[in-house]
Amino acid sequence: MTRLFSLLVCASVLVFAAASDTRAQDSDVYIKVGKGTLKKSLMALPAFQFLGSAAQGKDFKTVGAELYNTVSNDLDVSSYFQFISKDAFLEDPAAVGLKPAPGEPNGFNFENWKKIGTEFLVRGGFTILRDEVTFEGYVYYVPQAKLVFAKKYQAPVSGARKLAHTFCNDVLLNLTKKKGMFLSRVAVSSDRPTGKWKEIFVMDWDGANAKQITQHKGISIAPSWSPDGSTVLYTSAAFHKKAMTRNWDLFSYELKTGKRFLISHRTGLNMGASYFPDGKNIVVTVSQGGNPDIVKMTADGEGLTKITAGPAGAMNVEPVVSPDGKRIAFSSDRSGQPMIYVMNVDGSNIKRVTFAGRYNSTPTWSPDSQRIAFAGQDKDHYDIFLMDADGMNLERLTSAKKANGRWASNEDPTFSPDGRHVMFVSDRAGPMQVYIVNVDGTNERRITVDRFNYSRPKWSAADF
Amino acid sequence: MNAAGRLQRFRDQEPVFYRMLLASVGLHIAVLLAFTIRTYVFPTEALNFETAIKVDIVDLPDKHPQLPPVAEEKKPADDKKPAPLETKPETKPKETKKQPESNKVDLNAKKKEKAEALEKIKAMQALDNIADEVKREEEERERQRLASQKIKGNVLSKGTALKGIVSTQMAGYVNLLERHAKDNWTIPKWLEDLNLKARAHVFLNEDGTVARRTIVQSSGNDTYDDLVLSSIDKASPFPPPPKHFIDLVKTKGIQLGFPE
Repeated sequence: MTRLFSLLVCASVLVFAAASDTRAQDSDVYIKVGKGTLKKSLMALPAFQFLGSAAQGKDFKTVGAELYNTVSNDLDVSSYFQFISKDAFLEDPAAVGLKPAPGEPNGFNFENWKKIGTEFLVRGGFTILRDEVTFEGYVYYVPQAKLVFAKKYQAPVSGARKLAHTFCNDVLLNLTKKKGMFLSRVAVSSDRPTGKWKEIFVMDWDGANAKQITQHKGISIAPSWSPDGSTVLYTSAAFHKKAMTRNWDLFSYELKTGKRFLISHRTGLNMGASYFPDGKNIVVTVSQGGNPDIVKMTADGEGLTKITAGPAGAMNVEPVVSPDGKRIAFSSDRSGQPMIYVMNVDGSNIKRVTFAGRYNSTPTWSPDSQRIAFAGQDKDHYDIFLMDADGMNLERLTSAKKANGRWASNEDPTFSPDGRHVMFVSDRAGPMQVYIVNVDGTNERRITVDRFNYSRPKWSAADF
Repeated sequence: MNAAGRLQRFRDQEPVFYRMLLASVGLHIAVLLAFTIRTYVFPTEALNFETAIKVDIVDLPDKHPQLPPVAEEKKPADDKKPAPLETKPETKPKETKKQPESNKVDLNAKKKEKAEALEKIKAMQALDNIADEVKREEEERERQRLASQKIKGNVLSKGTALKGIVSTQMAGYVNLLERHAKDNWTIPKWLEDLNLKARAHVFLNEDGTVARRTIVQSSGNDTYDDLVLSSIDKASPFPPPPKHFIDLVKTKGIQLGFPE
């Protein structure tokens, strides 16, 4: 018995000691460092070389400037890069080729760019033959002295901007594996060029190539893109001759054909339409003489199905279908003050997602359907806010003052197709102009620079 | 009387107590064995050293006051002045003025001096520019730090830290290492969206300097792996390990997950 007892004790001590040792072997300290501090990469973007002879390319300076300025602006807006001042260059980019030495006679020297901390070197050259511009672009990662990508582009001289946007999209695609948003467009309501009427305009995301697409000579507002970017829905206070009254009717405009269609002219509001991802159905706010409610109909205005109904006296407006087609965000005053709500596409499972603030409106989905931006009233002005689709992680994106020291209003947010920027309108400089801001609240930029007012910009998911 | 004899006597005198004592020792050993076996048959998850927190949101949050409110406005493309454009240098016929032989030598020397001076100025300018870039980078880092500061709407209450085993000396040192590694981990924005993950094994000396480091799980992206290693180099020296953990960090090392 005694022997057995001693044996048991020894065995347990041995097992425990062995166990402790093995545990120690497994107890490597493991630390999750986290996402880290983000930084912009230093980029050298020397002027593009004209590779032809001056006699060949008329206006080559203008074309070159357009190419360079567009590329420079796009890459700057991307917020991935910080440009190195030309004064810091150790070699004259004009005196060397677009490719590195050795291997290329008179090529550039990587060492000269490494010394000044360059991470990315972009070299570009172009020629003009008749009305065609040919551009070749090279992007090098200097620390590893390697070519990231090189590509040749050809376009009519009038399409130089588009060519530059395409190059920048390719730069981002090669680095981040995600397509850039530089070929996207924006539909917006504006009182340009007379300041008298509000019409719908379509322009490049950077404000260039603005084109008026409506001629109602009235108030046309709330444009919305079809998923393929071919059609713009909008609402206009159209004059009905028989009734001698104006009604908020819903129209669609085909960009390719320039044709306009009347989609819904039910009495009252036919406003704030949003496409389902299939492009065949839409949601609209209609009032039909009562309180505004959200309905679903086909893209040509048929087969109306009610999605919200009340509660009595409450309005349900500004519906936006999430890009994944599963939910609808909208604003409603059913709880007293207008707040943002999210529901399933059939109207079930309505959830209030904003509780802070007094007046929250114009919700818009991020392309991944994970986040919602909206305009929220704070005291006497609006600002743009961003939150998760369930209302968590609420943050303010904008905050600016006017020249007179009063708070500026920032309204009508819309996400860029890559989800990295939010466009909105602001009266910080006087008239309601278009601005963009990064989703982290940095890098606010003015897009339109004129004396007119803009409202409800909508960023297209499709390229032009 | 030997120990066995004493035990025999004790068993004879107090048979009940002896049985109970034996049973008690047996049960203790059984429990000990049961827990030891359980640890290996059903291993538990690693301890979480994170502190518990609770969040109070009371109003629409402020935008971070330190963030730049508005970036420099870009003029519309139409108003943009054309950027300097490079053209191929035109080849002009060289002027060949005859100079007296004596002056020729001086001129060459002066030209050389001038060129050298220009090179020096250029190099100094470049250094200044690099200093500016570094400053800007530091400002950006500061901005990022400020961005994570607490403002209205994202204020965290003190919360309740887990107590007991996690408040051991080891946990404290691990926290120090974690904070230090985080402070030195910087990645370019364009890499962030690729959602890359890498793990590095780091061995430290007694004074916290890095003895060696290797990538044990590559992200598959050379640039990212290089950045992980250079961030470890940059972080050296790490906080010196407490006496009891010198062997641990020296021989077994620590694993760092970027980001997890």
